[in-house]
Amino acid sequence: MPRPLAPPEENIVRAIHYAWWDIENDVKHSSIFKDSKGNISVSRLSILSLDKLFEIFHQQLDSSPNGKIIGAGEINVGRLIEIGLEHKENPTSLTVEEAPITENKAKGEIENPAHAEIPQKISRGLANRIIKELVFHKGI
Amino acid sequence: MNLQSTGRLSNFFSFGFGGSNVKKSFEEPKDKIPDQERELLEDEAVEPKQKENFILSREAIAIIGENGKRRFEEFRRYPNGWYGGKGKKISKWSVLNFERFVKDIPELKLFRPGLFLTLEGNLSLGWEDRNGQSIEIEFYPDKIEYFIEKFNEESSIHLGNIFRLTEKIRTILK
Repeated sequence: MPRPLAPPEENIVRAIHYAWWDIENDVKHSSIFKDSKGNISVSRLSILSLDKLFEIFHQQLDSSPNGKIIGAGEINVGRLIEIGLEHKENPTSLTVEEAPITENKAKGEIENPAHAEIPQKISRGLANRIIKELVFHKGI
Repeated sequence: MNLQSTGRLSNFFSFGFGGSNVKKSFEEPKDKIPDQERELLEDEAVEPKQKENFILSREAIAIIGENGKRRFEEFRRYPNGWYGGKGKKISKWSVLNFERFVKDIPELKLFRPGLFLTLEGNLSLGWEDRNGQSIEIEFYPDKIEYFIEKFNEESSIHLGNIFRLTEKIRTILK
């Protein structure tokens, strides 16, 4: 059964790891949105606040020596879809699919009812375009 | 053969990765490794124990700066499974290819590129040109992938053609 789609009027955030944002030079890397396997995890701001999401991101991904989540990039779902279709080199039909996570201690998963996924494979060039339109929030 | 005294070897290994048995420490299959480097690695593997000093060369640090050096030091510590189980440990072959690239293009230091680590365990450089357009280069063990926004170009090259990429990048830096 297909997963419900997040509506275009919603905003989503993507957690940003230290390895992908050089804050001193203010350069971001396509890895924020590029994953060779697809399924980019994002979270819906209509379900949980940014503060609450940062708590989840830190809990899930900060364990030493794995680096840290240092920020999050926010974008509107409708705009994300437009950017994908406007990408001349390889127009991509992007979707944001709801994928809430329930707590599973055995798998080390932390509950995140706002979790969603972008299942499509995003190229380096498209990822760079998306990154240029993100609103950045430094980690709390 | 005293490898430490050969210029050829010092060119490849001046950033100093080593260990008691280098061959074992490489995860990438041999068939992905260019012949010249493979030969050097096989030579290196018979060297007696060396200090584990997986560090960047002076030329590389001149380009990425102290900030880049700190980032590299942090990336070195990430184990397999970083980023919630998805990330691979840094690839020494990727570091080698990064070194080869930056040594050939010292003028890049003027742009202070950011240093990144990808989930595949590859080092990557990213910066903006004089017009604010992005350039990103990822150093795989057996190829280099790049994105040049100015040319709307996203592609990859074989290591044997690395000079073509450096020439292309040079034209953008001017």
